[in-house]
Amino acid sequence: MTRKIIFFIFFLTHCYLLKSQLFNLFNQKVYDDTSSIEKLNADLSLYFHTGIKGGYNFSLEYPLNRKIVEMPKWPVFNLFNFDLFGYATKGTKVLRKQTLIQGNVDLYFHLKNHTGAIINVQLIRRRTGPKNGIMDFGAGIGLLRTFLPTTYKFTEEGIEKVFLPGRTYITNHLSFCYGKQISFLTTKPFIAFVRPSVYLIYPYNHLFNVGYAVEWGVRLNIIKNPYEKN
Amino acid sequence: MRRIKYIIKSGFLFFILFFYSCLKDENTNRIEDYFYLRNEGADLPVYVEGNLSSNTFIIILHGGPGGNSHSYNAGLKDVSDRLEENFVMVYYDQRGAGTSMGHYKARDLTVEKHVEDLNLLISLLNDKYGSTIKIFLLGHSWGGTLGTAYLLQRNAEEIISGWIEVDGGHNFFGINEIIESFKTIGKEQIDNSNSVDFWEEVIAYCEEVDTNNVTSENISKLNRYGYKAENKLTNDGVIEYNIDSTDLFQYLGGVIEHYFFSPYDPLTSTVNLYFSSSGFGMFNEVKDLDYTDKLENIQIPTLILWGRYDMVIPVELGEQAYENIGTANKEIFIFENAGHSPMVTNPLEFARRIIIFVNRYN
Repeated sequence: MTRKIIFFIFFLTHCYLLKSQLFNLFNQKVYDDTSSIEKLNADLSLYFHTGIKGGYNFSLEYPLNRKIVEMPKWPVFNLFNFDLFGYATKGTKVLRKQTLIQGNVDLYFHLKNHTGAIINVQLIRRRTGPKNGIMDFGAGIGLLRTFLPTTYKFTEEGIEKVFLPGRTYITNHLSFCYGKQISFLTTKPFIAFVRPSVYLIYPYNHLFNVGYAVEWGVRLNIIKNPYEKN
Repeated sequence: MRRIKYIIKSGFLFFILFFYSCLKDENTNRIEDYFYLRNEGADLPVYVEGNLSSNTFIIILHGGPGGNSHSYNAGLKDVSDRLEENFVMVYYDQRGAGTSMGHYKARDLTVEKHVEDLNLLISLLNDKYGSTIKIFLLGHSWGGTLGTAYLLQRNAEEIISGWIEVDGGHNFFGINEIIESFKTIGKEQIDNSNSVDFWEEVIAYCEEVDTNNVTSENISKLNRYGYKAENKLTNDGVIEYNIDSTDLFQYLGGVIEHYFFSPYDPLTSTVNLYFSSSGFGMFNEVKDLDYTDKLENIQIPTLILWGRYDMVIPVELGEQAYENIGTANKEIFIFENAGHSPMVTNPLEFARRIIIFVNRYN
């Protein structure tokens, strides 16, 4: 009996979510974003390679596409409102959706092992909510250059120190970011965010390796929006 | 509020343990050096730590293939600290293992290349720290196989002063010994009503294995059963942890240092373990390795340490190694309540045995 009740509640919730999403999809309005929010952003963050090896990240991002989406808030169940499939809304909400290109320079220090520098480019799909919460997903490609401490190799003349020891690897990565705009000035956004990412490194040893990183940082605007001149 | 207090207390305990783990006796002769060795596309990290005035170096050959050396350093501080007080310990990650990196072809991931790497490391140590240093090899599990391969290919007695084999495999997958061990210990555990279902399942599987036609799947499954069996034996109180309560802080501090403040990189090491070394690279070569007939060529002082309940590389192989090694200066010690890693279950006795042996042949 308990299972049936749980299943029934799950079914109702599922129907509610599905219906509300469909309802929003058919009732949303999409506009081009020509607001005066600056387009070029810079991020500065602490970068934790494999979660614990510290470092820094600097990135620049530029929007390729910006939309403002106006849609009804999630509907409230109302048996007597037959026009809205049995649901009534509580006003509208405004979301900003952007596709961005982001360039990153990451530097991390692996204790008593090596220093790594990653340069990568990623495409990001970002959603800014009505309460200035920011969520995005990104995927990109880059290069990892490792800098090793003193490295010895054997040659025909004996043992030699390698000049600028290290190697270059290709990386592919996926990232997810959650942030919050903490500035009160909407034209000068100041955003705090956390961005975990996973990446594939190759050719590494005879095959590949994987890594993950967590970034904690802030995002600032550094160049004004050309639209503002109009 | 209670949660905040709990977090503050936990954080305080964390740092106390960490700082405790960092405390070392003031020793002006202590060396802490690290560098990389590059060979045939592989960059191997090497850590040299310990008492330089001893002029005695012990090279750790870690397990695997595909394990890592850091587990024998910060991850095992109650042993490594004691050994470092007396000798210089050399920890290095083998190619395709731990935090080693580089770029090479799959055909370069062979036992021969591992031996070549070890040979170059020994030459480098002689070059950096003087040709008068005494070098011992300590190989655990797969490290025992690698050490045996090295000692058989070189003029070992001229370069190496002693060989310490810990649950190592001169016959890496000694399938007959493993099956016999499962049957014997399994029956003993069933008689004692310990994990009966598990042991019956293992014995039934062992009966199915055709020893004249052993497949890779058989080897993998028996290896997995080996580690599971040790967990069961630990839960049933057969394998015991003999850690002195005074060393508990050192042990916990070491674990924190190992995971958060040492060069150990859990993700890289794990990917290396499953994809670079054991998984694809070395398995086919290692599964057929058997040096039993050549052990008589080892002519240097040898100490064999083994756990009675080692279900991965059974104690019968340790006794076989003891009988076949060619030198008269050989000793064997079996830890009665230990499994595949006696250094974890019996750290004090383990370190003591090594210190006595190395001092005797130094």
